[in-house]
Amino acid sequence: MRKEGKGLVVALGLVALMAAGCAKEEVVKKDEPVVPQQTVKQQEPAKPVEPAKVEPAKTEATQEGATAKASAANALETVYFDFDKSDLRQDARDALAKNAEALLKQLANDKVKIEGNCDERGSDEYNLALGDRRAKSAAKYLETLGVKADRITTISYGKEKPAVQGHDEAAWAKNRRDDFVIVK
Amino acid sequence: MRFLPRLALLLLLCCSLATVACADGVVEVTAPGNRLLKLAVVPAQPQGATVQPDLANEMADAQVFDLNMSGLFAAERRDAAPLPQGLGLSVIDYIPWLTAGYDLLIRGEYELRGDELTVEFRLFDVLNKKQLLVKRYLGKRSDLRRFSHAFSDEVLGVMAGAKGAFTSRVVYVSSQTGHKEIYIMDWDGFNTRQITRNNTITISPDVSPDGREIIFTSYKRGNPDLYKRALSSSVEVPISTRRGLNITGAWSPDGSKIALSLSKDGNTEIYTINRDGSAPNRLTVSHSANVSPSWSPDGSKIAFVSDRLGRPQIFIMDADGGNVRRLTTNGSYNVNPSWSPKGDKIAYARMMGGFQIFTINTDGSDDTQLTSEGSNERPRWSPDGRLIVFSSQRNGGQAIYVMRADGSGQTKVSHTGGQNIHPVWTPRWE
Amino acid sequence: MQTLQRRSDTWLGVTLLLSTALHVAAFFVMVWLQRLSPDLGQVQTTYYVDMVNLPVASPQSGSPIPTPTPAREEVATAPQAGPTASVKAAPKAAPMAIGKSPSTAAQSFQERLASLAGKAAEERQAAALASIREKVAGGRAGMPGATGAQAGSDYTAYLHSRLKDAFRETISYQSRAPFVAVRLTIDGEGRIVQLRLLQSSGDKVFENAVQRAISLAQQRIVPPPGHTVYQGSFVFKPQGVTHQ
Repeated sequence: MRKEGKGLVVALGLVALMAAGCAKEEVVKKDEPVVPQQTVKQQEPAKPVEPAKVEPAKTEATQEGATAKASAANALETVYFDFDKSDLRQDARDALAKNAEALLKQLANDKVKIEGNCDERGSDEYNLALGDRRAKSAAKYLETLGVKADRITTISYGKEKPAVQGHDEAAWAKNRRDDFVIVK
Repeated sequence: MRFLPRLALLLLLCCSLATVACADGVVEVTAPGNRLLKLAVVPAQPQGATVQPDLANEMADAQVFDLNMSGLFAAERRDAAPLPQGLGLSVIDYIPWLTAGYDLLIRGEYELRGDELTVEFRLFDVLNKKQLLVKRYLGKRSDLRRFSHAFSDEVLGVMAGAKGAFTSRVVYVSSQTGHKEIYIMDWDGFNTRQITRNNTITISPDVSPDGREIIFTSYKRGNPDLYKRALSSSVEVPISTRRGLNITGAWSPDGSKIALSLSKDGNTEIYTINRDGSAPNRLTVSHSANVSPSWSPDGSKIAFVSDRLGRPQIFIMDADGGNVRRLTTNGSYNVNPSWSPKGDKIAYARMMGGFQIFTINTDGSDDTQLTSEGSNERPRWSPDGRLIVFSSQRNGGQAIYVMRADGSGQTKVSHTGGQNIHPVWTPRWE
Repeated sequence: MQTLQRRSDTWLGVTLLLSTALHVAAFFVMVWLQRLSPDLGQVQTTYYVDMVNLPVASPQSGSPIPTPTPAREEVATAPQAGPTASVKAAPKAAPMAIGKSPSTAAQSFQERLASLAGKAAEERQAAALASIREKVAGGRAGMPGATGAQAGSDYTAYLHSRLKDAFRETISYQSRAPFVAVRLTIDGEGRIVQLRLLQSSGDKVFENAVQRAISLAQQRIVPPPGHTVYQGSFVFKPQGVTHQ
């Protein structure tokens, strides 16, 4: 009898303990990380993401930045984009209009490869998709200007082929671009 | 009637023999803090004619690093007089270790014959004066770190109920040669080996669930195509060479499928293909970019990055593409999802100036920042879920780091020069 | 109860004797079994096979089917008897001597160092033993003054305090809100003769910590009052962490 009573008390006690969560939640940290914690440094706030529009680079500038394949005679103008954007700014449309004209006249027998690129800031995988989109938006615009689709191919290099080394907005603006390469 | 009191008395006596006194109710015992188990690793003692203290020390140091990174131990190398009759026959004297405050002790014994190495490790519970674990490893001299890691895995199994993953490796991308190529190293950065030699851009590796093959994207034929190769071979088989992007390949947990991003139909969308590249099946339908699929451990769901709402955010969908929901709601640029082996959390990187690594529960709760120094990307979980490997830009370089799943213990592990990015943890060696 | 006991009853005496004998026998069987269970764990031998560098079935083909190769089986644990026996068969006393025999200056220095270390270890051991003795003696000082056959709440309170002290030294866990409920049986000599796990949140690290706390406490506890058997249930939790 006595034992049963006690068992009941014990069981009740257990149930009560389980049921009644007591004090406030408090995560206890491990006292001693083995490798000293790196000092916490405040990141500088994100740079303004949509900068003042950068003047489209002139032909001379393009040649420095673009790949060697876009050789002297047939230089097509590079097209630039805003951060994380693939839509064409007015200066981009102007450059594409010139490129379309060249492709329809002097370069009428050549094919063009559009290489989409990004600045170094974004995630590299996401940037591959962004570069792809930049190349394709230029390709689409060239098509609307009369360049036949089968003369255009696109490729994205994401942030793998920066035109300019550097970690400031000036460099980034030059790297968010489509290069145009003539393919024989 | 006479028997009844007798019976009662008998019962009472039997009871009281077993339990004379008894506490009322359950007493709660609490203590503050969460201490680390203090563990001494004594370098293994030689068993044969060949005596190589550096070999024994290297094995001990590997275990010390492993067990410290587990977050459960404060491990250190301690020299001690060799056991006169070898590990097997000697009686361990626990008292000095107990007095020095140790909870646990690892001792070992090795025998080197030419290139053949035999190692035995034993784990002792100092307080209970008990042997907890004995393991013996036979192999080559070059396997010595692996033996150490294998024993560390076992120690965690005994002490924490789940084996460690210190026998696993990390596959990553380094630009050491001037080109981005794929490398493999032990999880602690030793035994680094270059795998690809494509002299072009080769990125985004993923390891098959059996740990023997990798997939990656390379521009070796001009287009970002997906290739597969066995780690033991140099043959690279193109498995997806569709027009446009063939990127961010991710092996399904059962190894039968690969999820990847293709831009062949215009947008970059997520597809699954068979492991030989056949039978593409489109999962996402949007007017935006969808990249970086990461399978849940049971293979039923896929986390991915999409900018369908403007900026890249992390979404979760069923493995057939249905039931899409947004996971991350804080921050304007969240990428690199990686599903934890337990399935409860997703690690990812958020752009906030540079990138920082976060973990979030799969229901969107408990969004926690783990890193704050430098710029940190590409988190990937260790197979046991205790550690996270990531790529960090700090102190003037970009290297591969590991940390515990709570963000503590951030340590550089890669030794290669150039940019070191895209780490992926391989399954553990069984 | 007392009136009952005064009544002389042979039947009762026989059962009492029988019951006592049975219990004593059971106790010795348990002790004996514990002796038998070897302290040595089994030596598990592992042959190392580098899975990563094993060739894949046919890397050229598009989809190497993951057929179980014989290589996988090699990884399996080797039969216990063989290797274990061979290790123990040859005690390596000789190699130990090899290092010491050449009497170069450096080595004799090493020897001196080793003997010094040995001496230091002995001293440490003696100190440790003394401190343990002290601890045991000190434990008695905290003993409540209860006497007689009533091992009740005073002894529970005493145990609680011993367990709490020990738990402070061992607490360690890997989950958020771990708990372990145990039932302790302490014999008349103050030995914990049974430790039964009633309930656990499943945190192995925490379970170990509790087990170690009880082991540690055992070194310091005194017998229950009147040298009777004591049973009590205790639930262990980290301080300030609640269940969800």
